[in-house]
Amino acid sequence: MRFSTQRQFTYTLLTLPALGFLLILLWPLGVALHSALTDTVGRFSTEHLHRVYSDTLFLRGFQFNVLIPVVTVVLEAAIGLSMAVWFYHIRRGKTYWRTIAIVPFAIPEIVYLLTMKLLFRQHGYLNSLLYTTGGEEWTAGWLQPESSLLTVVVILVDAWRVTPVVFLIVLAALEQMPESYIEAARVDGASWWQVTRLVQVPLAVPALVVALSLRTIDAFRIFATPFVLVGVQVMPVLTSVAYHYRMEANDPSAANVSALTLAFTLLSISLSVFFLAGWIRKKRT
Amino acid sequence: MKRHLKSRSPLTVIHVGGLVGLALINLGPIFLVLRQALAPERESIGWPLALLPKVLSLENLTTLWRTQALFDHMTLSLGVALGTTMLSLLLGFPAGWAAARSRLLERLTTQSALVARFLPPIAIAVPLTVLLIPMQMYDHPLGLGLILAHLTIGLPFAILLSYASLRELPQELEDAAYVDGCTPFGALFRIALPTARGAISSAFILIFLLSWDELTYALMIQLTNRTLPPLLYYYTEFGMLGSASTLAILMLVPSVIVIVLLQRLLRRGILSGSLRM
Amino acid sequence: MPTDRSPLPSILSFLRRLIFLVCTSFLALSCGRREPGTSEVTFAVALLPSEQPAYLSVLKTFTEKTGIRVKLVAQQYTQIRSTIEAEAQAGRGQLDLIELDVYLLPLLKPFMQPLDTLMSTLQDLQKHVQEDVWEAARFNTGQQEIYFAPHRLNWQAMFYDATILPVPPDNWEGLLQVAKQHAGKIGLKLAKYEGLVCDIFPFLWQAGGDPLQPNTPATLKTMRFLLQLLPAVNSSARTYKENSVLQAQEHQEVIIHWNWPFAVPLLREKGLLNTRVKTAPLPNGPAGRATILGGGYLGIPATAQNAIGAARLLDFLTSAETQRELAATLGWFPVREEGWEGMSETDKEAFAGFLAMKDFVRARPNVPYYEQVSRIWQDGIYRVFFEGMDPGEALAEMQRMIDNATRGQIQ
Repeated sequence: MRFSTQRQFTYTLLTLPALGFLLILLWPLGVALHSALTDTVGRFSTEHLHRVYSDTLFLRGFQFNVLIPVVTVVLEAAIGLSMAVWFYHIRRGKTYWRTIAIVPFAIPEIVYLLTMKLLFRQHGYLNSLLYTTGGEEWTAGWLQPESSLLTVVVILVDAWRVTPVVFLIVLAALEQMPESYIEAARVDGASWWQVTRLVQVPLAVPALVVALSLRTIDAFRIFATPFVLVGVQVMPVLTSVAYHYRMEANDPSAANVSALTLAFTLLSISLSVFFLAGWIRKKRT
Repeated sequence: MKRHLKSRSPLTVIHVGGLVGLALINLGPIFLVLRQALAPERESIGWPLALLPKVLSLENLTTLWRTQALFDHMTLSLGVALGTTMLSLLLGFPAGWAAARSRLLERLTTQSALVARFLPPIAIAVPLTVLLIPMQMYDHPLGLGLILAHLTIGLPFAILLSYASLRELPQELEDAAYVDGCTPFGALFRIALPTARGAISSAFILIFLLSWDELTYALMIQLTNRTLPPLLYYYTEFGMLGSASTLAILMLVPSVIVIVLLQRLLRRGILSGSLRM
Repeated sequence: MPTDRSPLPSILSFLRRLIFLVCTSFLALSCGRREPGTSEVTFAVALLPSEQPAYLSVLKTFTEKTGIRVKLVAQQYTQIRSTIEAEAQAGRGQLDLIELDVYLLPLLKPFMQPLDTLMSTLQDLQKHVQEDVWEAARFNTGQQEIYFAPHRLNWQAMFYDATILPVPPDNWEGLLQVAKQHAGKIGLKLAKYEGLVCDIFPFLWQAGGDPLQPNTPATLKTMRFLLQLLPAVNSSARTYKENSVLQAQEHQEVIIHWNWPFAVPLLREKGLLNTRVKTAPLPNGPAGRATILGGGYLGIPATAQNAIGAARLLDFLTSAETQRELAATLGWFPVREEGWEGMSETDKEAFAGFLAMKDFVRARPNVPYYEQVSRIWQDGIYRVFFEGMDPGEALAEMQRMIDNATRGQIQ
């Protein structure tokens, strides 16, 4: 008993610095909340909320901040899962191909986005290639403001960067499955499509749920992709709108409103995602 | 052998074609960065652009070296990344171990780490631009404020990764040590630390990369003493794509080392575990 | 598989050694870092990346002359401004000398030191710089102290594609004519930032309007004219800032745009100047010609650690010799009248459009709440251009907001 108390004491002692630091995070959040909800003399006021919630930049940011992540996550799931199933069958040089597959995630985000900018800008490499093969009419305004093509490009670029994470997690789950499962299915005369659909995919679902619940939250925090590719004005999202208010318009209260809106939306989304994930897990067992 | 795709079937063609396409999509753009970095800046405005540079030169690198205190930016980036990683592990590993050993702390620690992990950085960054000023850590020449900001990302990772790997370590091992007269601190250093080596190294790599690549905080906190990501953004924004590409190559060096190291960890299944955090 | 296990420990030990090495060298470096003493000046200036090499060679001359090293920080004006505000609040700073855009001067004056006692060449400079250039730095307060000295002068001129337009439009009607013939080829800087009002205010002045009085017939006329022009404005214009609109001109996506002198050397370097792109005066409006004053002013923050060194650099940068060199290498317009004499004939040809506008330069409203005024204009223009709001209604609303800002200032 004496040992146990002593141990408990040490454990608590060791946890305190880390927990303390995480608790300190509440302080900036409190400051942000205060700055968002008070006027210049420090009285409670919804003036900043009204101001920001009627700003078209913010409203457009909110729309993109819903549209982009939702599509991104669906794409990540579809591509990540199919790549994992595909890679499961690779025998020769698997390590090398896997390395190549995770390149977009392994390189720094800003470098990845620079490569995408080199590729997609109006006079970039993709249009140059199209121009030399098919002439002027083959080129496209990939990053043209207000175009749906731009939205597609941003979604693809954003999804492609994080797909490797989904892919790796699902592949690891698939590889833990005994080979005899598939052998047995094959002996029973199942086609590869049936094997994939009926054996592999169901086995991958728990890993996929874990991967996606994390990726959903990350996807909603989108910042750099639209910010670096086209800038705040053309494709705002809540994070870059907050950046614009703080660093360009020098309006910290508005920045806090935008950032906190995202934080609270995320909080509710993460709560529902975790409940949903728990529910799915429970249903399966 | 049956698991192999049968050779010469249409599937094989799709398979090989797919792999080649994947390599092209993922490695092609990196080649473009390299090409842009090694060609003079004036080539980046031509039309149509050629896939191979007309002239090979190190002009971008020498200009960068002359005009930016490139060495300062690099050491700052490196220092911030290392500082963040060290502090995260120093605070996070003991906490993760304690969470794995004590029922009482388990939920509290892991759940607060998860909440911190899910906070959008921007919600912390905006108030930090105000709070760091009186602490004299805003735009600090050694990046102290940025290290503090990056800790909010690194620490949850360190805690969760250590916790996940140590939870599987049987309690009996430590109990035996206690019977032999070992203190809890001794158990931490002699038993937990050596067993969790793989987890610690993968945490080290992940946190280092997170900090090395981080743009949001760096853009808002380091205004004149810039780390590499905001500097790269500055060149991209002004259309100096040659200089930006040169910086990108410099930023890639640690990443490439890390990818090579990751292979070993991948093979042992440590990385895919840590990506779940 | 045993072969799988073996590399990991050796890699990890290599990693450990590497990290140790890097850590120690980083620590050694940061400890051995020079203490910023009297021998170094940290100078934040809003240079384009392309301007840095030439500017650094000018600074090298200064270091050779005085032995004072200069640590150059190239950043955008808004970032320099945020840094200064933060340093003033912290009571300690790293920046010794800063360059600010003319519109930021009234806002940052409280954080600066008066230059009268620091600068030895101030009186000489005052004699050689036109009075209206000082006006922008004097804030109409009746105080005689000077907080900012001009570093470079700027105003906008029109850039046009001479291969498509042999004769540039000289008045509003001409501009509308071009707009009708070349849809999508006009390059207004419509990104929502200070550059937006730099393109709009000259039109306002050309119609006889005043940015502080939006609710007037002259302003309404300007807005209606701009709405007529809008269909011909490039659809990417909402992303256009100084650099991107220049790139669009280089690629002939636009054939007319308005820009600052920095664009001239860039075009010359690419061989496009006067072969394809030429400069011209801004089109004449119903009330005459006008363009906007820009320009960098230098000041020493109150928190500067090396104000003496900064003042020496300030003396050097505003000297006749340096001004001549900056004009020659960077195409910056000299703040001293005598600097103009050093301008070569080729430069005079290159800057023709700018020189023609020299007598029609107007400053933005010199009020401490200018930033609010600018934001009200940016919002208002967006409402009229992109949200279909009636110009008269929008202008009335802007007038109310500007009046509020004025009252808030007086109280």
